[in-house]
Amino acid sequence: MNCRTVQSKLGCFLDGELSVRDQRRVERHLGGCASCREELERLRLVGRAIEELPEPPDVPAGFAERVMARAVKRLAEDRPTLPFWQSISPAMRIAAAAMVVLGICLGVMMSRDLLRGTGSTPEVAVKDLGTLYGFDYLTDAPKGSLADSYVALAAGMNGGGE
Amino acid sequence: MQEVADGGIEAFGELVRRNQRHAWNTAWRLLQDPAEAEDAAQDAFLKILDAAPRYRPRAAFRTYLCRVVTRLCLDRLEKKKPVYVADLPVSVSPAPAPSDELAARDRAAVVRQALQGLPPRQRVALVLRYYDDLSYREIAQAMGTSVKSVERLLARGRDALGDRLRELKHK
Repeated sequence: MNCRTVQSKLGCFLDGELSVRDQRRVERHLGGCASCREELERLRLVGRAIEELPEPPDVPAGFAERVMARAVKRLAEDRPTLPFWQSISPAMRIAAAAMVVLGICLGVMMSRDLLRGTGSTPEVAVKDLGTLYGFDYLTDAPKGSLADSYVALAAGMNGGGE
Repeated sequence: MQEVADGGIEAFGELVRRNQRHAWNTAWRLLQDPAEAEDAAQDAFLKILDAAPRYRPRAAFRTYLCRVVTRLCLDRLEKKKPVYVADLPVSVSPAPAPSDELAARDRAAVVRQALQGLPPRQRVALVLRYYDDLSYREIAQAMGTSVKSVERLLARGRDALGDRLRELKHK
């Protein structure tokens, strides 16, 4: 090893980062080379100067508390807004699903009863539903019904009628 | 860390209390500014909290913490305007002190000044080597670079520091 190679390895030599083989070669060279020993000493002094710097001041008072306050705030902000069904408990979810199924079943049963009650085809049933909800107000009201009384009353008030 | 990953804010509090000194020391040595060092150390813990679910222990937690603090400090140092040694004030305490103590303080001021005048990556490599006692491989991981690059940074840093110490002592 020549001086240039050795001097390029002196930092690693000081830090114990050379392979055992290189470490020995550098040591052998240093034994017989004053200028490389001088360079090694210069590097040692630099290291010592750094190590002699005073310790940093104490951790600022309340440091951990400030970190925790930021962490709590961050966790609250980052918590994703869950869809409604995820924000309720599993038991509530099951209950809500059961309510929906029950509602659908009731709806189906009621519409079947309605169709069966009139004994008519679906088209007729739709017409009957129209009557039921008052959309078909131009057809004659059945005799004796409340609507019939209303029609009779209205006709009397207008001076007409049968 | 596992408890932190499981969402334990109390476990995170314990982690902060146990490691705050380490994070603060590294940040302070790298930045040499109390306000900046506190910000960087706080940010490091929050980054660790964010990354907790993905954390896989490959090295000691301290090494991991050192890496996070170092990266944050490096970002800050590289964004800063460089400060040249000639522009730095000589901060020697005016208070009377025994001659040995004064000499030590002067020497510390000179070394600190010289360190601050180094390019950020050289300074970081030196601090991690001498204060955190990290191996070249650990320094490379902390800085996100190769071992060869660490060797070069340390060699240049030592050379530059040696030259600057000589210059400052002769002023």
